[in-house]
Amino acid sequence: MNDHLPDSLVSIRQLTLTRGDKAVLDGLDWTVPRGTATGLLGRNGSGKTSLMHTLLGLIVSEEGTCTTLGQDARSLDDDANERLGFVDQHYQLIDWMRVDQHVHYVERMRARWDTDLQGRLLDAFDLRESAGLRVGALSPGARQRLSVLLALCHRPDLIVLDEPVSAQDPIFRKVVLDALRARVIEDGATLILSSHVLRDVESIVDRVAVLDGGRITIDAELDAMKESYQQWIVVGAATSSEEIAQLPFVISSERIGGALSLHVRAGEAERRELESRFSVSVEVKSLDLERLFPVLLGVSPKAVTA
Amino acid sequence: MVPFLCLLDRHSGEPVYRQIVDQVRFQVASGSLTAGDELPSTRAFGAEHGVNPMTVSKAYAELERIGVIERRPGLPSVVAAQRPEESAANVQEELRRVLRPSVTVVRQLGVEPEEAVRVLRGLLDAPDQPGD
Repeated sequence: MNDHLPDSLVSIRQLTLTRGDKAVLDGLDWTVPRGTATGLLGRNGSGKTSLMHTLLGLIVSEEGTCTTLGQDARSLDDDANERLGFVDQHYQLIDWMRVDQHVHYVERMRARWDTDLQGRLLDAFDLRESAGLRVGALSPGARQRLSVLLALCHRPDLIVLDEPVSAQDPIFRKVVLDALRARVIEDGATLILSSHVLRDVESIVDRVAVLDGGRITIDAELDAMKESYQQWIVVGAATSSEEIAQLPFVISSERIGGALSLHVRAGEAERRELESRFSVSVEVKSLDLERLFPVLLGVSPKAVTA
Repeated sequence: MVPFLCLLDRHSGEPVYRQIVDQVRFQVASGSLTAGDELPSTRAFGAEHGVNPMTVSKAYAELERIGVIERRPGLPSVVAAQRPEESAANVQEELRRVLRPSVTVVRQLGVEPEEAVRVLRGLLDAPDQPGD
């Protein structure tokens, strides 16, 4: 199904987008490999939505290039649009239609619509009972699930989701995230997801891209990040040493009682060296995405004040 | 194909591929997977555990590199045959991995090594005592 696709479904070079006199995106470079699920992370106002809209061709940038599914994002053809699935932050739907009419309406626009998948998602998302209701009468959670269903049933190659589970309770959160993940595993779809809830992102992504200051500052496999960033609790005689905090692989350090807590970008070799050089003992704590994110953004504990 | 247990926690700080490597290695060391046992394809494993097949492939590549499994073109991967001394070394390596965090705690508590070994031996001699 995706045999004609390029290795990178999105490829962005030197993209600049200004709003008023402020550069929202500022010389941004980014490549999204095929078959991966990427979490697009950034603080409020960092430009995540603008970036998503740009790669879908909904916003045209002033400078730089954006190639989506191998085509210029500013002029995607019908074939490219058929391969795209998008869930907007505000999940726009047509309120006066009944749920079943709305599903049928979108189905008729999509050549690759999979009615079997539609049936499974109607059940999983608990929307079958609501088929006869007006879309406008649905709860926010049900509306959001409907918009996810509508973005998935044509089995798109590239799925872009802006906060797709923000209105879901914990049970439906998992159901929707599992449905998204299944598209990546079963269809080899490529997925770009933004969410402030890092646990949600962590449950389905393979990669993380951090948008900060108008650029993608970090873009790597989540596994690789978890492997290279660690927290070390350093205990021993020399822990007051400012020398430790100055080591090149130390990102930040903080004193906790008699111990020194470090965020490091290091591995076994560095740990052994530190232990023998300063005669200290190091306890390694791995970082989940929740604790990794501030470290990546560099807003974690302040520099040491020993 | 042997149905083998793999419990993955995406919210642990451990990389997912590393969790797969560790669990397969442990099951080989403990004998619940033996030479010639077939592993699921990366796709089947991915679908079963909700993991990207690329991540499974990375884990299998690492397992092959360290000699735990054998990947065969067009055929299922299998648990590699191991010489007895290799098996013994693997068991030791697993033990080392599991006990290493305890070593840090022992040092932090300032407990003498002999005392720590005595406690471990005590626990081993009374393995089924609940709740301490």
